Amino acid sequence: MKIAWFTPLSRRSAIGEFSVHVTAELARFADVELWVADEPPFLRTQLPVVTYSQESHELDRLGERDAIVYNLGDYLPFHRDIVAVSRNRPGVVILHDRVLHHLFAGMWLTGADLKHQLYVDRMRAYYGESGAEVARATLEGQRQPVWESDEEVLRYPLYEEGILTAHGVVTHSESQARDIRARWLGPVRALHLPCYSDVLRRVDGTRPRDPDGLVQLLSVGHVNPNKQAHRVVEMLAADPDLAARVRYTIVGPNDDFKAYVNDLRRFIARHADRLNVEILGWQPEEELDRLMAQTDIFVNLRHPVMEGSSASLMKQLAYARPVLCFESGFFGELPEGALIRVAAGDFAAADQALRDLVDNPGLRRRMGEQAHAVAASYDEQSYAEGLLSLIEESRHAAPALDFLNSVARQLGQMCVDGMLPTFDEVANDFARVLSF
Amino acid sequence: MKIAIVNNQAPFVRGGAELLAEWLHDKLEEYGHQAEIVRIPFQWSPPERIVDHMLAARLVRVANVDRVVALKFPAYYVPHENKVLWLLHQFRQAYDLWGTPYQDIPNTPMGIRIREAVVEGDRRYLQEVRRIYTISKIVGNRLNLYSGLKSKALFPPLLDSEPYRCEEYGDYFFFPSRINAGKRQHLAVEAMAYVTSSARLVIAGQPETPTDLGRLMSVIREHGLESRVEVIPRWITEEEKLCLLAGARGVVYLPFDEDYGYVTLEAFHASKPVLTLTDAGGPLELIEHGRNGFICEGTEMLAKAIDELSEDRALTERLGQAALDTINERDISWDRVIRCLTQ
Amino acid sequence: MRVLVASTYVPFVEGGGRMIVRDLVRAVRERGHEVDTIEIPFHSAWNTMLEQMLAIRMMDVSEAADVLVAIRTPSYLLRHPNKRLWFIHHHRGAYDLWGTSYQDIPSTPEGLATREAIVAADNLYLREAQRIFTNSQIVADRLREFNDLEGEVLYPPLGDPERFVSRPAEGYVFYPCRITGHKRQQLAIEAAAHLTTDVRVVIAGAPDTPQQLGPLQELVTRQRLQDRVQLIPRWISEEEKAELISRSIGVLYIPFLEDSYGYVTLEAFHAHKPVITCSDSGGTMEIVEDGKNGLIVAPEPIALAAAIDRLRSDLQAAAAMGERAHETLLGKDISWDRVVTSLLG
Repeated sequence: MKIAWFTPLSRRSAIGEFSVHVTAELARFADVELWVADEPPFLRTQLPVVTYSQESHELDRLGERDAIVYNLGDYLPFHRDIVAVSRNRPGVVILHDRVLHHLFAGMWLTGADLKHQLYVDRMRAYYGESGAEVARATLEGQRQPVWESDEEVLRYPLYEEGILTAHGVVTHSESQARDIRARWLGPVRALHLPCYSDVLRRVDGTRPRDPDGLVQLLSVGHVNPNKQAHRVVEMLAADPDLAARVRYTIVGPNDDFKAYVNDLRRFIARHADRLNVEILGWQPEEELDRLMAQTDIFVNLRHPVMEGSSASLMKQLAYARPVLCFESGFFGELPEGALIRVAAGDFAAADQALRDLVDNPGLRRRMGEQAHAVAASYDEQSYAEGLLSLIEESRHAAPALDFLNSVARQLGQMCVDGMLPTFDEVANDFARVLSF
Repeated sequence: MKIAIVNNQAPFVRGGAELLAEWLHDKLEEYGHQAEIVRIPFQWSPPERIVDHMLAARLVRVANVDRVVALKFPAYYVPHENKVLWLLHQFRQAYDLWGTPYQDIPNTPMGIRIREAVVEGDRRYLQEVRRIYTISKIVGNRLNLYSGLKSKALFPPLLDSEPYRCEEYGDYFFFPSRINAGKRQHLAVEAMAYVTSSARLVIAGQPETPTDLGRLMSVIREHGLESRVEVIPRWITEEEKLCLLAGARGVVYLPFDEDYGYVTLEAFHASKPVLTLTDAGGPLELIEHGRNGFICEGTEMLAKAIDELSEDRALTERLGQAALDTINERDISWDRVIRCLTQ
Repeated sequence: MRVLVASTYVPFVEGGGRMIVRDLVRAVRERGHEVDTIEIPFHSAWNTMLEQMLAIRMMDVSEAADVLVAIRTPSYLLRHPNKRLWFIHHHRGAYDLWGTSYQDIPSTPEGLATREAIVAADNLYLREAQRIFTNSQIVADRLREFNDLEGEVLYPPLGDPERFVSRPAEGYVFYPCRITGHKRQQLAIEAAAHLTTDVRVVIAGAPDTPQQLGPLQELVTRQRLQDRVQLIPRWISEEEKAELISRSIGVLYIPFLEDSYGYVTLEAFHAHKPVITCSDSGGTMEIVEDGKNGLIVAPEPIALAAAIDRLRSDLQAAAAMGERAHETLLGKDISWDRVVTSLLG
């Protein structure tokens, strides 16, 4: 089977990283090409890379491929081109995030070609009048933009827009798959995000004893309020006994929320007497690996959970260290024992759980082993096999889905909706003849 | 070229559009092309069906054809990358007839939605067409007004104009047409009441209903015109029509707001001036007042025109000749039609 | 009665499907009914079929006539309360030709799904018909096998049977048919090389492509059959055909695996002439009976030559077979009266 795999391939892209690993495995069973709209430098891959732009004739070659896979995430610069291609040439969509609102709001509300009315219409189409109202009020400045509130944007995720013409959908969380199945006809599969085999190979389960006896805590990821680093720091400041026994390192790009980061720094400075906290900013891969190898406990208290799953979590599991997180989103879907989970948003419980881990090296070791076992079970081969099976299903569903979409488009062009009997007649015909 | 003439179909109905499609088919083959008439069913009652058939037309695939010439809504929605319109008319119920008793679509929310569908469909899908020709300027004007589209008038010629002849300018004026309220034969009769010359009126055509005939006959009786107005209340043969045309002084034709009307063209081929009213519609595109006929404001003016022609033979001949010349001046010919549609 | 005859077609392609529509329309009209046709252009590209099928479902002719007769697939998708089918064949690429080199839908997942949908639609909408007739037993068998539906065999008659008269036989057998591989004119020429009597073989028809004709002409030359075989490689008019049939000893019709017996067989029977056909010719088996109104032989040159020689050596017996051939038509009532009564009854 010939597959065209659309992905960002920038060195800063976690989805790019994911693509490189998964397609390497996939290439054992199929002929895979990576289709990329970014500028080099790219992540390294052995597979052919086809660069394209919206106007390029290159895209005509897609007709020769048996299947197309589109990787979508909630980041405009990496995914705008991918969305554009997917509209005209339907294929399988891998949803990396639960929310694509920032992607589509970015597409429609910024840049040269503004589509304010489209934004309102789409919000209405998926979420009814309340969605339309939220959109309208946001546009007119009558309220805080909906995309600035994580809780709210989860209610209006707009991922639906990303899978509108898809032949099949892959998510990395069972709960998201359930949501989609309830509202969308085509094949949907939840696959475990793999823990990359080279990561598993690289990881060495031991860690040198910290000279000053402090237990090393680490949080990895873009520094923003969602990651809740400020709550963790507040939690430590309120528990000087615990704070005295740990060093907390916060690693990850911190340019986007400067005000937040500055507030955080100021807080840390104000409590310098009791806190041992450092904010390191973005680190290159080797440095990050070194830091992770020296970690005793990963702190992953993001809330609410915005991603479909997390490659960095898989990596943390691979390091055979306990991961402290909330029972929320995909974190809730990992097997029992893989993570230390407390009730979502309950920092008091988090504090207690952290104390237990800090006090108990044996507990840490056991939890770490379990974490590693789970990581090892999420291998690239299983992912590739699951994906191939979904692709096969999608190819089977494609004619019926394309047909539905084509007729729906014509009806839409004629302003025909449920009010006219034509709509029901067509729907009935479909229902009687097509099977999903 | 392999050309498909795409038209609507109402089973068992054969009207002007069907005839035109057949003529076009025969002429295309005469000119060396291969032609087929493709008929797509269209049912507009109940009104919801209109949208069904719009969708049907959009989903039909006409393969193995180099060009499509489409004539009407919704047949002109059939997709093809090389499509040309020779537009007889859009779905007038949604446009100029909307807001009149003839709109056919109810003023309910559903009806309004149906109308919207027609308007949107035209606006969007007629843009796929390479070129739009219309059978008359009126149709083109409406198309521009309602759908913002430009077109060129391409008048349909008679299938065979050879037999049309002028033998003499006799003492009668000829009004050939189905007898009904829309054709307004009764106005011609009323005009005859004002006529002072010895001109006669000959009305020939199939009455649409017995009532239509009855009404006409009573107008004649009312004005005591039995000896001046002759009515042939049946469909007349081609030969009879040609004969009556050949001997007439002129032709009187008074329909209300007609789209085209071959009657004017037939009269011109027989070198006869045509008298009509200002609200006749189609005939006004061919008739120029005082040159090849008269466009009158009412029955009295019509009577005056009849008298003028009756009393002035030279005038009649001059107008008659100009009438014949009009055909060439406007290039109303199959040469032109075929050339435009196959370009 | 108001009757609508519906069918599908490809513009500018003449085929049996269009002729049967015209013939039926004329026959119905001659019997005093009002008839109109609905002929819908249909393109067999597999990835457009579902949309085109929906188009037909959207067309409303349910009140336009008392009876709707649907002929070529998938015109039977038209909705009508009194629908009868005169079913000529399925979209065979999805049915009996699936798995052969004639399969016109790819065996990809997309193709398989489309095929499933086509079959599902057929199963559903064929059942809307009040009565289903087929043009041959073979097609009725397929309908049962693939769609679990019973169809009644209703043989299509000739459009103008009166044209085909009988005259005393002169020394040839005649094979009128368009020239193409599966009609097997080649077999007839090969048989000519084995003839022992003085009988000649006359073959007439337009080659589908020039490539079809060349090898046949070469074969005649190579085997030195110029005196035996007369090849008329062009379309011949109905008059010419009727003329040549009328004076033949018998007619050959030897295609490979056809669904129906073919108009040629009917033309011969109308002209009181026996028909020689092959055991693998398909539909001819439904009306030709070996030794009675014709001869059925293995598709081999020697066997075929023997059959031709047999007719030539006993002209009286051949003529008697010809009479029985004509009686077969009457016996099976292959007539427009029967067709119209069945379809409209």
